[in-house]
Amino acid sequence: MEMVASLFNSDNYTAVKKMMDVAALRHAAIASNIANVSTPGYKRVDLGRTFEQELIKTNDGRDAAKIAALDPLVETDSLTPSTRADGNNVQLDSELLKLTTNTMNFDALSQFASGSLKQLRTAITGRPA
Amino acid sequence: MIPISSIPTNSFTGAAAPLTMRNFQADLERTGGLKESALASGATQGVGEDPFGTMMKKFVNDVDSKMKVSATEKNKVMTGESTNLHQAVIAGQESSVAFTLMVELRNKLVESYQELMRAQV
Amino acid sequence: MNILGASSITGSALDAEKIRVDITSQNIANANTTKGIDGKAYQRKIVAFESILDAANGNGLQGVRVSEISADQAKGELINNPQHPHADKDGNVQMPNVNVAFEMVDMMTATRSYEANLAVVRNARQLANQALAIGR
Repeated sequence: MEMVASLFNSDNYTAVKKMMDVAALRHAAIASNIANVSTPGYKRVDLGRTFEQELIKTNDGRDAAKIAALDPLVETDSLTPSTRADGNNVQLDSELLKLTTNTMNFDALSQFASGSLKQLRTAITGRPA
Repeated sequence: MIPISSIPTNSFTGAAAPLTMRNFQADLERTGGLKESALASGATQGVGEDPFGTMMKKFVNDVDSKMKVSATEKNKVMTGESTNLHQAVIAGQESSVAFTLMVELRNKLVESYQELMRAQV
Repeated sequence: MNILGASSITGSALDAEKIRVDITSQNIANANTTKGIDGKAYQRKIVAFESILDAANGNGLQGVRVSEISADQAKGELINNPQHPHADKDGNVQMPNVNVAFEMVDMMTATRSYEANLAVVRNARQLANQALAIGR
């Protein structure tokens, strides 16, 4: 798989692809939270705290295989305190901010990925993509 | 010896035939005739398998498997099994880049073959 | 096909919040209905939400649905107004148990939640558009 695989295994590009998976999952978690803002007893969900730390460590290590092996999971966040009588701990403004931030992150990541792919094309064909 | 005119062309525009995996393999075989003519003119080659040919075969298989991956991802999106659209798009783009590499490789091979044919006259 | 991220979750929330807005409007509209179809004063309706595990997304992500629309059994005010066409033999009129100020707050909360879910859909659409533009 050397010639073809080597086109795509730069650790930056692999990290970008994995981060896009993370962003897509985070969007679903935020959607779940905002959908249940009025549901009594609902606890907000997010990607696990341990996953975030693992992600930072792996990105610093610059190992494409390790980054590709990361598996983002949604976890229930019971640490955030509930400010309401019904036990629901979703704060709408905070979730909306996370929503916008996540979408912008995804935009940036998709631009990075496009850049890498276009660069590959230019290198291969000798013509600007 | 294979005449240049046997490389398939569109009879109306003279453009090369559409590049499919089958055509690419056929082109490889034709340009493999290059090696035979070199041998015939006295060049020597060690006994054993042909490293270039093996490499090209492996390359074609790799590109083919990338295209299969792309098709699988697209299927997953179509059936609704996957909600990650970006994975399908990226797989499609990567297989397209690999395919482009293959086309460029093939073009370079055909060019050098044609050059060599001209030189031998 | 399901390319709009988490659309089944957001769709369920839009349905549920819309029902809440509708019921709240109905309560407000009937704040003074002293005699309904059943002959009695209007009983305020309450909407109860519950979360449902979303099959399309899995992962413990949840949509929401209206689990029941029940009538609030609390009694409304009894107003003494012998002139009223629905007054009973003592001259008292049973008013509905609707507190309009309360209902207005509910209405604003439900509307705000509905708009928040619309924002989620807008963002999901942006994600899908950006994904489709990769490499171009």
